[in-house]
Amino acid sequence: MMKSTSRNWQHMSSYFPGLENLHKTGFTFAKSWWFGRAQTDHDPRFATLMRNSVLPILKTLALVSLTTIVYFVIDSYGLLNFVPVVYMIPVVIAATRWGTLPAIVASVASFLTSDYFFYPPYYSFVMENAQEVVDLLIFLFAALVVSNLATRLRGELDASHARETELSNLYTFSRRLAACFTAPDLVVAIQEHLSTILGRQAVLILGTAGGDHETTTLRSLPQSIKQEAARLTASTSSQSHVIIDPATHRAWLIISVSTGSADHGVIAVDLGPNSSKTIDGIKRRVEVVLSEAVTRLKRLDLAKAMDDAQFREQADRFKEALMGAVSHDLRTPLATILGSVTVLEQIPAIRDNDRSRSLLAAVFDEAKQLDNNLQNLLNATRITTQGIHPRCEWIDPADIVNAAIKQRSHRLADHSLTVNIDRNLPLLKVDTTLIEQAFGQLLENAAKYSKAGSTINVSVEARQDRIVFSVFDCGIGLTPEDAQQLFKRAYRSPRHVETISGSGLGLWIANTFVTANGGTLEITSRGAGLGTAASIRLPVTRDELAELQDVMDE
Amino acid sequence: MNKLNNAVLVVDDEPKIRRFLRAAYELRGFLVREAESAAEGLKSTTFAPPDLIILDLRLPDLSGSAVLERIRSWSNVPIIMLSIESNEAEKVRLLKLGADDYVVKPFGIAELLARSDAALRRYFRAVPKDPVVKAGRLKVDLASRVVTLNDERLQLTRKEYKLLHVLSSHLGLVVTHQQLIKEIWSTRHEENVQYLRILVRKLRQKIEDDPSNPRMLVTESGVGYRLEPGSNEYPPSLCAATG
Repeated sequence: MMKSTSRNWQHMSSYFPGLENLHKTGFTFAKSWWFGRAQTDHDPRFATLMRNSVLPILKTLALVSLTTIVYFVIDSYGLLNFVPVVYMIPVVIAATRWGTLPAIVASVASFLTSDYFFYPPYYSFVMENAQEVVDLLIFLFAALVVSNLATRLRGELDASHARETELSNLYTFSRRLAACFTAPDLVVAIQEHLSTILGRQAVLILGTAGGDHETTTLRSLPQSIKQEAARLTASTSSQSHVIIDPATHRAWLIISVSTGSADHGVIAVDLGPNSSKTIDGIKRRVEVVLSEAVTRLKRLDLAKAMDDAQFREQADRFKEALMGAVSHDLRTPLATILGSVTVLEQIPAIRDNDRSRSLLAAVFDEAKQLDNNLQNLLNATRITTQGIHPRCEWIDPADIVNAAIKQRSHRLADHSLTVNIDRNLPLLKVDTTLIEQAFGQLLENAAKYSKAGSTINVSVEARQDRIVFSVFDCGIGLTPEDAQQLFKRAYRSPRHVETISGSGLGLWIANTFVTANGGTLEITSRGAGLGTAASIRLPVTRDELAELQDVMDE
Repeated sequence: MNKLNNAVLVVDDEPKIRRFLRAAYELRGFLVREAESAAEGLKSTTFAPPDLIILDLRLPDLSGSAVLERIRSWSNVPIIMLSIESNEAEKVRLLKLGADDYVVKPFGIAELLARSDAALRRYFRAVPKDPVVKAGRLKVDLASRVVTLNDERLQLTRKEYKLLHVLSSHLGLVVTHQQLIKEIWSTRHEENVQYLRILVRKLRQKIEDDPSNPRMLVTESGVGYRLEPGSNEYPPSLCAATG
């Protein structure tokens, strides 16, 4: 008897999804009564079953009753003929809000209520009129069909919301990815994405040489989890384990993933407080979502991005180490040369001898030149890593010019220099070192590319919202071809590439420094042999100045 | 033979650098001691206290700044750092740790000697014999607070004088922005270098021949300011003023 009933239920439930829930609900309910209440208190499934199944049914019945009462009230004014269609309202509400089962309950309840209250003989389940029985049965059929459709519609709406959330998560994630430069950044971004879509804490552990990728989440992992994760990263097979951390009594799922390169990674997901009955269900869901996510990540070619980021980091570190070594190894001998030469110049016997003094002056000049070239090279390396980070501070424009002139004083020694600096120039907020270097480069070029003895003019003026630093020389000028290529790295004009030494880096460096400070570098010439005008324009914020005057006079 | 010759300790791991430094200071009449490591330097400072220390930042066993800190914990002896970086933040840090000044390698010896003299002068001024500081044609009387330029009295505002006072008491040595701001204003304005810049500009307009090309009140980019003494300030050898 039981078997055939069960088969019948299964047959019917294929037409009415959710009907099997009724089967299970009834069964569990019966079981609980049979085995006594004591057991049900410990079973969390019962509580959720109560919440999910029984409560909506009660609410549905309440709605049906409400409709009945309303109808009675209206009917007492003798206004309407009874139409069972009015009960469609609670049926559709139940279908869209609570699902198939409450909708079916609503349909049946409406059917019974109409029969009892509104068809003669009133207050009985018997019906006299055969036509009315057919009407009511048609209503019941229609109600069931409508509720099915409404439930399906609701289901699709939910699915579309879920897709929308999923898309929005992906969008946030990809924006986040775009902002990642380093491998740890990527790890954190992936972790956050996984945690969002799983609704649980997820930690990504990479088994790469990035053992120094200790994000803060990694540090907060329980020790036993870390150990298990480490063990899994070492093994190359793809596995998943559920580990219970003895300290916090939470279950964790450790699953190993392949990142597409030779590296192996491990994802650890916090499944929640340990309770073996629910863990399996959660674990399965998590695994499904995770495998989807990992596939997606693979498609985004994150493995490559990770590798690139790590490579960039290594390249940066290497470059810094190289810079440090070069700086020290080249500067120390230079220091010895320069220091010794300047001491020699102090010895009376040498100082008073013209020949030795002039020889020493030559050594000094060349050593200084070497130092400048070294500085240029080091500046260039400062640029090619992730861009420059200017350290801005308030400075007096006159200071920049004077420092640059002093630094290149040897270069400028053969020229006559005129300097015109406006009084009361506003202060600038820029990186002093960068602008000094850039301006110094302009001075150097002016000296290098014009004849000994010619004039070089320096001027600093305020124009509208900018301060303009200019260097004018009467040297070899620029051809139109030169003007176009001037700021290219390592460009040297064909006119003097043989005769005047240089790396071609200078203006490229200067331009990068100036633009990093929000300014512009412009170099113009009226033509070959007609001199050059080079200027750096930097923006000014004037509002601060007035405020400053007050503080001054305190 | 002057028994009161100043003793200078040179701490640098490069023998060639020690060689020209020895030559330079001996020409000036100093007694020169050498140390090639932090340990040796500390030992020498403890057992044969010098009047001046020239300390390199890069030493084989301990960093120069660590040595600086240790010495400063018991002694005020003038210390000039030899720093191979031209990193401004590093310079400010060394000054904050107690260095009197620094030179960046490679350097000309004149610069180092000028700063050594300035540091020694400041150290020996601890026993005030002459409160008047001379920088070119500028004279600052630190006691009576009278400032004259070309023997004519200058009118300075309270803050302008304070700025000059601090720079004069460190004549020839660099003073950091932070230190100047702290001495001149209250700590409210600690981060506001622009106030200092404007004040310096005003002071330059009063004391310099060409305010846009200052010779006395010189800017040390990214670090601070320095009041340069005129060239007639240095006697060829500086002897200990303690008597």
